[in-house]
Amino acid sequence: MGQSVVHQKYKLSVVSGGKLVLPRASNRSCCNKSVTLLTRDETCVVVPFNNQIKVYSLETSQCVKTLKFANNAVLSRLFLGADAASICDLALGDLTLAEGGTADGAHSDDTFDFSVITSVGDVVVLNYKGKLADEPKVIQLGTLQPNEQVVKLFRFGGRVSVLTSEAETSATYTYRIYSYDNSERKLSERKRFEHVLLSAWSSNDKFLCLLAKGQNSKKVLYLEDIHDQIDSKTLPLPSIASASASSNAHFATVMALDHQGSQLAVGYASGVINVINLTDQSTRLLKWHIDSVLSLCFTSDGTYLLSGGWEKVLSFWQLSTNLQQFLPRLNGVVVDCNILHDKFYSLGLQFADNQSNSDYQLLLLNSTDLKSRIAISGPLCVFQTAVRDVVYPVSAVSSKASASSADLQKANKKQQRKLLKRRRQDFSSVFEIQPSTKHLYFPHTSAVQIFDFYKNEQIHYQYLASGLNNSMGKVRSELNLKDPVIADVKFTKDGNWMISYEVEYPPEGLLSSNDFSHVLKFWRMSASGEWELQTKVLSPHGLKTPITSILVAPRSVNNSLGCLTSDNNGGLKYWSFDEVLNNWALSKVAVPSVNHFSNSVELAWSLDGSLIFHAFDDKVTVIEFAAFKKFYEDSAKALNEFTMDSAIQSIMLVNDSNLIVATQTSLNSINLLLGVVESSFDLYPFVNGVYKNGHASRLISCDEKNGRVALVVNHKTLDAEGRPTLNYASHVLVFNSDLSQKLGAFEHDEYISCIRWNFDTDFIFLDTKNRLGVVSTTTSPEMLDEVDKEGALDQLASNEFEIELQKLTRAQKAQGLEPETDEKEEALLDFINGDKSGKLINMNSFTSMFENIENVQMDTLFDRVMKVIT
Amino acid sequence: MPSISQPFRLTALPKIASLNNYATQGNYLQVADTLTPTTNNINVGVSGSAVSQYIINPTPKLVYNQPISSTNVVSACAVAEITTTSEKDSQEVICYGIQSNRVYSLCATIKPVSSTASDSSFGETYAAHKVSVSDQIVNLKVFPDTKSIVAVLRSGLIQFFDFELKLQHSLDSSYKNVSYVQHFTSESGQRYTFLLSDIDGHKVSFKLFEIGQSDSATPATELSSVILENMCLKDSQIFYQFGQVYRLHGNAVSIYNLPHFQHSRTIELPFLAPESIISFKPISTNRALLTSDNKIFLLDLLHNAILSQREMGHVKIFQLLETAVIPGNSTLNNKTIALGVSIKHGSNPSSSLDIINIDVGTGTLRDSMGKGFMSRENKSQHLQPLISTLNDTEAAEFNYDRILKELSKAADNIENFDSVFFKRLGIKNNYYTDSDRFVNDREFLEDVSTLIFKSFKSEYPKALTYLLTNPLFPVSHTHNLLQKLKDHPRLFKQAIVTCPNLLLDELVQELFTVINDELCLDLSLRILQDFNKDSIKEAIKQKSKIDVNNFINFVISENFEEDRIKNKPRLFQLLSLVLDSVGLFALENEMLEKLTKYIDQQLSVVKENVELYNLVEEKNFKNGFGQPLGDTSTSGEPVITAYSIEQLEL
Repeated sequence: MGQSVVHQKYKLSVVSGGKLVLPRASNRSCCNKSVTLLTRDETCVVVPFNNQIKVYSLETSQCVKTLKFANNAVLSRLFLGADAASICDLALGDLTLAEGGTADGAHSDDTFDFSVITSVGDVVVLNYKGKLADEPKVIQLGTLQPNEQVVKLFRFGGRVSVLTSEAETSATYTYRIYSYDNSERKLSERKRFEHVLLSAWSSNDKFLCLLAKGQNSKKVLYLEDIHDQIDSKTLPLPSIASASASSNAHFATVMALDHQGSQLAVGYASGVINVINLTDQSTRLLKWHIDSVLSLCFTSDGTYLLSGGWEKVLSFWQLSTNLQQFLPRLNGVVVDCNILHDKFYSLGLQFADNQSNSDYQLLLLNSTDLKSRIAISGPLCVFQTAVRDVVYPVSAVSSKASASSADLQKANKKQQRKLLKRRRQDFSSVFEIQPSTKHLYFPHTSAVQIFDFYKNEQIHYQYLASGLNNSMGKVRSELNLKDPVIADVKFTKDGNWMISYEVEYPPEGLLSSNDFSHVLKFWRMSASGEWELQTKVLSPHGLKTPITSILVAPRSVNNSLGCLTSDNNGGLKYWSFDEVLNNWALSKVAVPSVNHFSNSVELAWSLDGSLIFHAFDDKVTVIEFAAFKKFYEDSAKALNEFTMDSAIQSIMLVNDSNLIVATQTSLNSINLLLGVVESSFDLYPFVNGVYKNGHASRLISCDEKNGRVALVVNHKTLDAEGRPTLNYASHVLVFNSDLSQKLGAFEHDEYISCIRWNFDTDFIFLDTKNRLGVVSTTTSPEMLDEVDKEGALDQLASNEFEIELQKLTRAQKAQGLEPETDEKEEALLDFINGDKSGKLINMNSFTSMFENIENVQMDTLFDRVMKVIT
Repeated sequence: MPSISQPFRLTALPKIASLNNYATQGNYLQVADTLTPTTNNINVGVSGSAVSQYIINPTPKLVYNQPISSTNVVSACAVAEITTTSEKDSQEVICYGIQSNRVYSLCATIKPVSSTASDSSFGETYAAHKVSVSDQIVNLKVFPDTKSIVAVLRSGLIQFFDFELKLQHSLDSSYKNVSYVQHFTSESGQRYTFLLSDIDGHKVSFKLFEIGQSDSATPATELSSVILENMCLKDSQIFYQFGQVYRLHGNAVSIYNLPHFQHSRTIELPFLAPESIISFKPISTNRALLTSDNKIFLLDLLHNAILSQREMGHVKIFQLLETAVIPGNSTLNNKTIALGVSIKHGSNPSSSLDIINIDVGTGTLRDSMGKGFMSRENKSQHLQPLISTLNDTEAAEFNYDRILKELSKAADNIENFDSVFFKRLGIKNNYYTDSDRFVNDREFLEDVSTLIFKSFKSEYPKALTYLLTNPLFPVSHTHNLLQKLKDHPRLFKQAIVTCPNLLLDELVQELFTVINDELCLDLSLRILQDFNKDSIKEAIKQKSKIDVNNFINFVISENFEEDRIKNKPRLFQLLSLVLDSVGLFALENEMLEKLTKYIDQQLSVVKENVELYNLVEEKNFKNGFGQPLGDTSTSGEPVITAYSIEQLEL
């Protein structure tokens, strides 16, 4: 431990994660929310994320290419940063080319170009196959109003029109249609619509329909042929309900227009769909939805209407017969549906139970069998409080997970002002890393999402608690029912067991509404790769008592098949797996205090299993595990208690000798062998009052192998005048085991909500944009000469000795038989290490290579390897 | 818990000068490395005297003695039991290397095993052999299964003999001046040995050999050979245990990992007095025994802690000769013994062999807590800013030593003291606030508290009031604190309300003696806040003579103070704990009656309340208010009546 000649450096990179975006979801007036692009050969689909564009193969349902914004200077300028633009539309082909007289057909099929249209009117040309140019083509379509955003770009017969919108109030928008002159690169405004409530266009880019508030608050429909300015119609929206009916019956939530511009479907918050024949203005009502209709779409021949809503069911209406077919049990609320080239249905699903974030999943279904499907989503995270720009789908009733017609009128600005003033800025989240597979587990309402960081794909989504939302959607007042929430998951050190803690909520409005029930569940990994429930413990710490912390036993205790749970009253329980009963059982109990409640509870366990450190409020109590009692209880002189300056947020035992204690005011390192505080840092400006008690521990992690500590500090960024803004930045600090040395300090441009050690050499973090980053070490060659000193604490060290010894014996025996033939090997090593010794290569150098490895050609792989090495 | 017990004598050593000289006695006494925690036999080759065998139990006794010439120096000794089938009595072979001037020889004696004190095989031998060898024997090891004796000579020769001392094999390790040899067995049972020899220019050669286990195999195969720079064996104490080699040089221990002899770490031992006579021996995983003059230490070299230590007042110098090494990782296998030699005080020194019983503990953090010996590096105790680049960071550093000096100067005057204290530390209020977090040096706070209690007796400065509100109030001063502050009601109350780490014992004591209702309430709340039921009961039980009447009267007295009413449930909790621990029958009749009456009264109040509640509820229900009383939400959300069905509107 003394002298350390360690040549390890950390670096931070944001490499994975990302949120699937439905670009127009934040614009309530747009009925087509998602943007997906089917490639020309119909084998792949291009899907935009908030940090990258992904290309999925429809045949193998796997991602074949990712275009990361951060890897390209042009893209990162356009799409990253606090106030950067977002993707709003994708189009095949190169829009910047002067198309002149030659129409669509002129495009040769062998170009893989596609154009990305941004919300501020830039067009970037990218390609979905082959290598991405370092400097993609970017053009500006034209100048827009300050608040104006591009909604959609229409192309028909070589003519390009651009639809933009500008928010008037939170419910009404001004839409403008521009025609784009490619030779002059200019937009000329052609038409303008004010007070637009809804907009829809036919999927062949030909017709546009706008629902607007006309005079006397009468709703008016504008029907436009986008490219032909003459053919436009204005007609009043046929009323379907009497004036006395509730507002939901009048509140149109979604519209769809068919290819011929002859049929218009309007969905209402009450669940009714009105299909209007635009030629004779006859109407008919389709009633099946119980809550708001959220998405509508006609098939290209106009014979079927697809509709979706809160029920998590996609409904097919045969318009000639009014017969219905259903595709039930979808993962989320159907907020968008689209038909891609008549072959695929693309559904935008929202996990509406997560109120802190808009979690979308894109589901692509083959229209012939509806079975072959691709589900696309990023990591699904639940934050402590709702992050910015969360969009709740509209429902007939107002609830925490939905907006109602009345909510839309509320000003957004007030909310923002409140956010600015509030001291508490707790957007923390929780995820755990499974030690053996290194998968990330995101507790997501009643389920966990299992996510592969290196492939950047969801592996599995498994419900851990039985709730209403597992199989069907909640509608209307059901939305106020809260499903059980997975609050925490942990894994035993061997990764074979998962421990989940869930909270069940009684219905609201009752005397018992605050009597949450708590469940502890122990899951075993089954052969089929699913977690199987082995033991379920109801109210593990007694009725209504929450579990504040779960700590899995170190390997030295019952081979890590044990865990500690603590409550908010100072109680502590030890659960262990009993091989004979084949069940988890309560083994040891320490009684709670009488009257002291706190959520600042943290646990730490020495590697050898002998001592437990129980932090409760501002005290760390040392507990002897064998006796499950305070260490030297009777002796006042013994080192069995530490009182800190304020409520403890996190404790970690590093290298079995230092206890890192983070309180609301300071970060301290206590040397347990001497019993003194060795170094302390001021956490007060960053932690006190910012996080809910106990949540700061989500932002501290410790590398158990070498005792390094990573700490995240979030803060608001200031604008030019020094006033706080709603944007956040963060710092990640890496310390050595006793905090005496700062090994790295990094900045990140977004609020980091959780950081965890990946059971290797790196720390993985999650930010509020669902992006995943890594703070990793790069190991330099000198490092290898010396054995890791701090590894001396590794309990397995003695086995290593035996292994080494056997190796030596074998080597000696082999030597007699075989002459030295490893010249070749050396030559190879020389080649790799050779003159490139200045460049550091470690495990993470190749991380990006292994995403989507399945569909990569050999030469591409080789190319990637060479790129990293050279 | 790890401990070292008082040594007991095995035997006194003959009065030969070299045996009573601390510098040489270690080399002149060769103990066979057969020591185990349960062993009863100890074999010692005493130079110039005899090769002897002792038993420890029931009482230390010599059971076998083979005298040797007074000029002979024993340089190595080994013993092993031989498995024989032909004879009833088990046999053992004792072999030892002897140096007599420039003549070196190896002796082997086969004799019956004498395991008990009553065995009368004294001096009986079956066979004795002697053979001369070319150099001093550094190490001897007997392998009974292959019937071989392995002798390592200083010249670097590894020689294999049978029990008749016929040379079977000889192998040159090619480095002269071998000074340390260690045999060990791997988990798979394979035998290894390694040699360390000094080479010119402060270098050391390390050679690892595998020892053949059958007659057909090559007797020894070299596995690895390492030359270590900047190392000298002469001034080092070396031992091997569990795959690691420990080397003490000066006051530092270097640890090397086998089989490649990689340096893993170096630990300074700051407590070692310079010029002291040191011996260093293995004892258990990551633990070692160290003697320095007449002190013996049990060290944990993983946690860098002194697990236990003992000073032997009756001897001048104690040195370890041999220890029984055990894994020591559970409470079942942590008792072991060590053999040492001690020199008595006095002009005519006499020495004796002593045995120490040792409990090595479990090698866990539990044993090492708070016993670390590493000197603290002079680290800054200041609360450092986390990110120095952020512009809104505030920081304050205090020169604690200087402030303390100023305070002690002002210690005769309360006002001066307070002004220095508050001004120097930048404390604005006379209670702790978050902005005082920069005053975080625990030692300083302790020193200041000591100073206050030392300098002021009748009246205390405001600084004490402040300190009592500080969460870092030194634990050492909480003992007897309440007693000290008894005459200062304000401070007394302050301590009860805010001072951390008050002892339960003292709080309970005060609870039953204080008559003031307000303080009684504070004390009750404080006790319930800090401690759990079991410990409260335990503490009350331990108080032998207490008068609980006072407390019971306090609880059941009619009082309509808001605080009291609010905390009534808690007071009842404490009352029930008190009654539980003293037992109802400890109360006098009168008190019991009073209590019963009070409880009856409370019960009737509860009954009344329940009835009233029912009435109100019924009334509400009739009026059509479905909402329960507890619900005070004013969110304006329409309340959906239970089991209603909202009609689908068109």
